Amino acid sequence: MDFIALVIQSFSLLFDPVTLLYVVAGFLIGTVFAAIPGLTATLALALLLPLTYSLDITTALMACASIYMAGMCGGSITATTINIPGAPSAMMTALEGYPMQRRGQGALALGHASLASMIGGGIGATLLIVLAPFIAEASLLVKTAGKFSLIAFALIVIVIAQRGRVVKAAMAACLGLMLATIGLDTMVPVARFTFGMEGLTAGIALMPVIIGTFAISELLIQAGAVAEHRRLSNEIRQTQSIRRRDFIPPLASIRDIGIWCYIKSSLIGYFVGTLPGAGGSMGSFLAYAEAVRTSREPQRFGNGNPQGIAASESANNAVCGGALVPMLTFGIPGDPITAIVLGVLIINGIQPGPQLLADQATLIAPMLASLLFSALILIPVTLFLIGPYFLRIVSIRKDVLYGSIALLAVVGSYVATYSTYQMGLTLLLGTLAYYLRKHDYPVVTLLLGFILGPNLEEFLRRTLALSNGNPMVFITNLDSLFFLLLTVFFIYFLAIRKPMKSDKSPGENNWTTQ
Amino acid sequence: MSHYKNSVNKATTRVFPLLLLGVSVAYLVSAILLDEPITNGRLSASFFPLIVGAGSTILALILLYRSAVSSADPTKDEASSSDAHRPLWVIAATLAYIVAFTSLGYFVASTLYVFAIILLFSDRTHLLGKALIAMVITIFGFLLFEQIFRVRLPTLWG
Repeated sequence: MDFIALVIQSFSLLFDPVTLLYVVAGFLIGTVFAAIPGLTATLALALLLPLTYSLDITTALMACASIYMAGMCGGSITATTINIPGAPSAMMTALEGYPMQRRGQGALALGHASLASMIGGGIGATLLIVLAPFIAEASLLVKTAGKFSLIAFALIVIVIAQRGRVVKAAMAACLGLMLATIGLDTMVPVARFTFGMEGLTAGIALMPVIIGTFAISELLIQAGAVAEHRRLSNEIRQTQSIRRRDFIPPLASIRDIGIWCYIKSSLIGYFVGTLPGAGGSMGSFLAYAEAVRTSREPQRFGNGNPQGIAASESANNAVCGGALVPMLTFGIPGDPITAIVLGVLIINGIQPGPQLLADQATLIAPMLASLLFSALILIPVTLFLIGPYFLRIVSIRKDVLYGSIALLAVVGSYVATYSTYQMGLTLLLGTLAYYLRKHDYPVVTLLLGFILGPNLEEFLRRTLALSNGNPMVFITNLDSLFFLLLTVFFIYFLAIRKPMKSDKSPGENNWTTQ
Repeated sequence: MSHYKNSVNKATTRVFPLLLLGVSVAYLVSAILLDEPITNGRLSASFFPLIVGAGSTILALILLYRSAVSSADPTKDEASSSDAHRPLWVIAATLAYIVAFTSLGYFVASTLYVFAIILLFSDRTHLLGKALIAMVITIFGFLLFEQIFRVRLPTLWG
């Protein structure tokens, strides 16, 4: 209850004009990045990460929360108007939104998407605020052996969630683990894999990994798709304009969808969000599938049914609340965005983990308040105020856009240490991530391998040191056994029970973002 | 995830797993040379890297085998030759920018870099207009980093 009261009190921070400015700016940036095909809210966060050095950490986290929420709902803009989801989580929205757009009901589809995002985001954030303290308390029961098994569980689940490319995902995770072992060993003073280079002794910092993986690699990917940009710009120019008065969904239509559809989809999204590696795409797909399964008129789906939009958008915005649960309670990010939020904490010297909510409640509560504020206030206000200009914003000149992104990314990587070495490292890692992505390797597992690697190694070595090298300790400790069984359970359901079909193309049915 | 189709030619599809195998083997050998994995009954600094190196070597071998037995995916589009080379030019421009960053200073190096990126993402027309846009973006970056976020950027004059 104390934590809930603290979150409620934190809303007062939004009365500070500077804080509010950062939260609103974060939301708008997140919306624009999510709306433009090829850009994501993850990229927006990666670009803004260096700026958190000079920003108050509370404000930085609040801005991160608003970018996250905006990133989930912004994708529906181009999904509806030109049938190209701005973010992967809006894939199912495109199925219903675009047929509505073709019938001249694009604004109404966006209205439905915003309403559902608002409800889903609100429910997800509320559940997070209410449940997180209890989960954090339970997480204190996890001891060293259990922590190793938990991190191993998270990494394995993230890898096997990349259906159709599990081996590639595992390879990328190994590359992340390799990068994490570079530098001084954390337990004994031995330099590893530095090859005589002084700059590597302290290890590779998180900043070049994040900016390289998400910003530089995206720049390179987009550089190879200039012809596609031109085609897309022409398509947007031909799209009919959106009028503000058409945004508001009629009450009869909302009644037709049913409040239970919103709630059920939000719950699905929230619980999917708590799973490492699942993300908004999987949440919206499952909620959409459930809406079709339980509908009395399933044949109406796929032809512009607002219920499909409601299910998809409620779920993907509820994912935001769910995905923050493992990050805040165990220090385990489940997707790239929560990994970057974790990076913000680490950069500011805060160690995420089971004690985070207890020790840093005053820091975390405002972030959750911002998440709820973004869902309930900023989603509808943004739609109403700038909705008619969405298409104009999305059709921004790509040369100017990528020129700005390139500058922000490269100079941003200079900020941490004021050295060009860091910039070079960013380019090197970005080039690696680019080639990985080009060959369909998910870079999210590389990032999470890099982030979770040091703790994975530390807990493994500590546990075995305490048990005199007896590996049975992982089975005899109940907390560890629980996570090992959970790992087996997930492997069975995700990788064995539904084996990959050989006729599926690589990357098909993969739910994660990158 | 970008919606754009990534073009991958047959040669790189084969070479890439080979490169990953090379990296994995090099890492594994370095881990072996590092230390004994267990010293005095305790795990040493090389234990974890040995596991990771062995794991990644096995995975790279699987990927290499898969790429050898399967033909390149015919469903993937080949990008136009200009599009295919553009990422390499972006890498070269970024590298040149990093090298010139401290010597030329933020303003000169950034203006040239942004101008180069703009040209790579568009055609070669309206050069003056694009140069002006590059300057505006550079000034915006300066205001953002140095004035708002108090980051000291290198200048030509020291």
